[in-house]
Amino acid sequence: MQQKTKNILKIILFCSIFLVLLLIFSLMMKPQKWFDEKLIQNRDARYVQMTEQPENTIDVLNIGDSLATCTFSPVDLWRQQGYTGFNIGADGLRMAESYYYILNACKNQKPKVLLIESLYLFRYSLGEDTQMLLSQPIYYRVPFLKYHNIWKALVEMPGVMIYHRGYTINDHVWSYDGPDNYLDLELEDKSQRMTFSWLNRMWFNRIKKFCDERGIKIIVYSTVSPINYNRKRIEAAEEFAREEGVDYIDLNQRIDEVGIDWTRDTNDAGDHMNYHGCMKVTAYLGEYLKEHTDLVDHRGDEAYRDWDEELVAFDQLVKDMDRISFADIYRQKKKYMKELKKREKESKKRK
Amino acid sequence: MEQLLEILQDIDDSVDYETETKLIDDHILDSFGIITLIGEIEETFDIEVDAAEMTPENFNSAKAMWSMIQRLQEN
Amino acid sequence: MAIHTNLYLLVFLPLVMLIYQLVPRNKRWGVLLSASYVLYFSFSRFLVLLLMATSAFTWKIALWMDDLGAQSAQKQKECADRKQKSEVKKDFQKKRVKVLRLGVLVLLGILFYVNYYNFVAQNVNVFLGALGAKLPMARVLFPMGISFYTLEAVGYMADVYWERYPAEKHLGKVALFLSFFPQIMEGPIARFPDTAEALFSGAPIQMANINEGLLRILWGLSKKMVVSDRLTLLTNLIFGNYKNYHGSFIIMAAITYTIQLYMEFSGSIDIVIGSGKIFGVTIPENFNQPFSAQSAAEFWRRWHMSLGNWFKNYVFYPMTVSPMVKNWSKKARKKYGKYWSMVGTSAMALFPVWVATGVWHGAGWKYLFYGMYYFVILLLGVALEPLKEKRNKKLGIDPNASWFKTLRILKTWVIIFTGELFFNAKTLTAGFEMFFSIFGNFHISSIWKYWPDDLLTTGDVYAIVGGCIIVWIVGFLKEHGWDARKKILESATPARWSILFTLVFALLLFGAYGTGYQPVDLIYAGF
Repeated sequence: MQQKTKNILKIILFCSIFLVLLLIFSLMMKPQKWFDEKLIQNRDARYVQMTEQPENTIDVLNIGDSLATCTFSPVDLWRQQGYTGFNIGADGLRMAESYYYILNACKNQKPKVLLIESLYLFRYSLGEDTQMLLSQPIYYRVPFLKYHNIWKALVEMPGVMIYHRGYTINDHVWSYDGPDNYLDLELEDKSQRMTFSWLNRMWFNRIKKFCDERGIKIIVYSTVSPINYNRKRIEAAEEFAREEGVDYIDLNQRIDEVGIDWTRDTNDAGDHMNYHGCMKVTAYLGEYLKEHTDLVDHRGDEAYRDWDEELVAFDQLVKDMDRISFADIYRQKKKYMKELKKREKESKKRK
Repeated sequence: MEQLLEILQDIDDSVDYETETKLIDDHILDSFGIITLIGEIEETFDIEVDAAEMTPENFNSAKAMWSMIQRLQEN
Repeated sequence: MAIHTNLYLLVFLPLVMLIYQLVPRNKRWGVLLSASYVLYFSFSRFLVLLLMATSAFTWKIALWMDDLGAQSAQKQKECADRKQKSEVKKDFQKKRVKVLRLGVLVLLGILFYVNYYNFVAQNVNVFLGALGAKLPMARVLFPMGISFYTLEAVGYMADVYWERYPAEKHLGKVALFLSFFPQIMEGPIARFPDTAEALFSGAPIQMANINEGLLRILWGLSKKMVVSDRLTLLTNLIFGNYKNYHGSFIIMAAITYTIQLYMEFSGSIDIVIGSGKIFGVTIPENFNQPFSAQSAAEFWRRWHMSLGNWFKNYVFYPMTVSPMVKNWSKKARKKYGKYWSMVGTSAMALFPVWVATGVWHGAGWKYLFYGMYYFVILLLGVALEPLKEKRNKKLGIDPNASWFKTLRILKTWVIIFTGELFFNAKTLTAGFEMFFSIFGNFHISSIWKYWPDDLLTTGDVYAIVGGCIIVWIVGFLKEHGWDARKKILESATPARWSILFTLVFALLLFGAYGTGYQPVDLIYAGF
């Protein structure tokens, strides 16, 4: 009996030490304090940069998978409407993950609108989604696990992806030469789903509840993508939005209004938008926001001067894109990073 | 027994078969050694070793082999 | 719910441990069996019924053979003279063989159907196509682990047939032996006496076993998550688009795939063995520092040992002593002498083993080639043995000199890497194309020129190299009689705990896991 109690005490002690250590390491794990922001890349990049935004300055959040992040450029939205937005999506985003992304984004911010690109609502794999029920809340609460890959930044050179409020410029053109009436066809990739899993619905309801409490308006939209959308799927998304009581817009039925040019606007033959397509979609979404929400135009407001500065840097990068193509940036990143650094120094000198 | 030891010495002469008890477990006698061994003992002792006898216990030591041979000779 | 996932490690396993401990001892086997079926259901849904049916069938066949044996003994007692006795014995032996054949054929038939039906139909259709006929393709659902539990079941039936141990009367014990949850996905392939008794006994969970089990699981998980999961991206890229890569990349891919496979397979076996240990079950080892093997034959005694042992016990030895092979070798001895009879016998016994080993991995010519590759190498090893001895004597080489050993190890590595190149190639043709591109198009500098660093960054490379070095050191020490795991478990609590915490946090920091990172499926679970 005594041995048994001793053993149980031992197990409890072991677990407590583990938890204490995890807590200490987690408190130490503050990537933005340790590293230059540029060092934090990939999936953590937008997440960390979002938390670094000045308090209560972001009005619009845009979430979804790669379709969402490539289709919405906050800097262009600023140029056109003076609204402040941020891309908080990620490639292959999952619902469970997105819930915590939104929570994270709202820690220091009081956004008024949440844009949700609809494709990721369809994404589903029972195995992984069940795993995420367990892992995502843990990652959210335990920064040590969430940012565990950060050690890589110590041994690697600064990354090449330059984020502009969560948008990365990509000017690669691979035209879409499929039929214009793609909405009436079957999707080529038969593995894609047409319905929403109950788990995804559950996560959506949690997101909705969170937004309702904070007075955040949810707008679900389907961006232009012949590879990923057809009528069946759009109708499913529309039905879903109606059932959940949120706004829905489909851009695939408004190709002419958006002004999409199939020869120029897509990055990979109708899957993702490139920068040209993104500008058009962003403009369309901007007009929609202007009409349907009461967002404030912050242009000219002293508190938002950093947005104007970013706009300049953004346009410079777009210009550089003509010289160094997207594909080359990966190969020439060392050279390009040097160039950027030099320019940064020069602009500081001038000031 | 003498004959058996001779056969074993022929296969590999670097082993002390009188004391070794893990010929199979320690892979001292490999599968190919076993093939040769079985051919030899079947001929020498006029027995039939069948599949049921092919266990490590029967081949781990010279002593075990010898008792197997005796058992098979009786049948 | 695979065994390397957090759902298994953090929820399933602890829950099973808890329920196991709370239930009275004589019912604990039921907990393990139910847990096994729950886990199996999570992969293969209602194919769990096939697993249950297989268990019942195996149990029944073994009992039937035992029953015939008992009847035979009874009848023999009633016989008056020796001749009659042996007649009765022969008679019943024939019946027992029939029962065994029935059992083996049914089980292998199912295995064949789910694994190879479509492959065979495809290849037959090539010929039938000329005649305008066609075999229909079947939509076969793959029952997880069937390749593993079928071999266990066949081994069990064969052992009972050979009267190595009596048939088990309790159905639950046979069922648990075949479906014990850690083992069901990737083996190791156990023999009935290895695990059945311990599984069934319901021994209480011991603190020492938890320690040992957890350490083992942690070690295995680290191998998989730090090294193997990182390499997956690289090997998939090169094997998937091999035409775009120079020979230097192909060589690298063959090596990295081998490392990836070893880390992942031996790592998940560590998790299996650790999980078993927690319940007091000693599951047989599957790896023993395979990369310190000095020959291909030795490699197979150290790599996927449970499979090698199975084929040795149930194919190789039975072949060696089968009347056909024996008769041939007797004749050959007289005609061609000892050496050729030995080589011929080896060939006859090895051939079915390596056809089966190749084909066991799946349907496809590449797997057959993989088997034949090792068949030829192993046979050459046997045939050239006298020549090598002569050479060593002539050149005055001491076969125990360390430089000579190192050379042999390196030679074995080349054999292994080449084998795995074909094993993982998409098709046999792709395998050959990759293999020949090594000689035609080799530029070492292309490795750093075209390194896919969006897939494998500098940090990843450091983690992989570091992980490999640590695994190598631990293996090297074990090879020389210093077992790190044992030393850790024997050390005093504070030291042991500090090592455990270091391991855990190193794993959490350097493991490739987390959001956006897809957990990589177990390779051998697909076989």
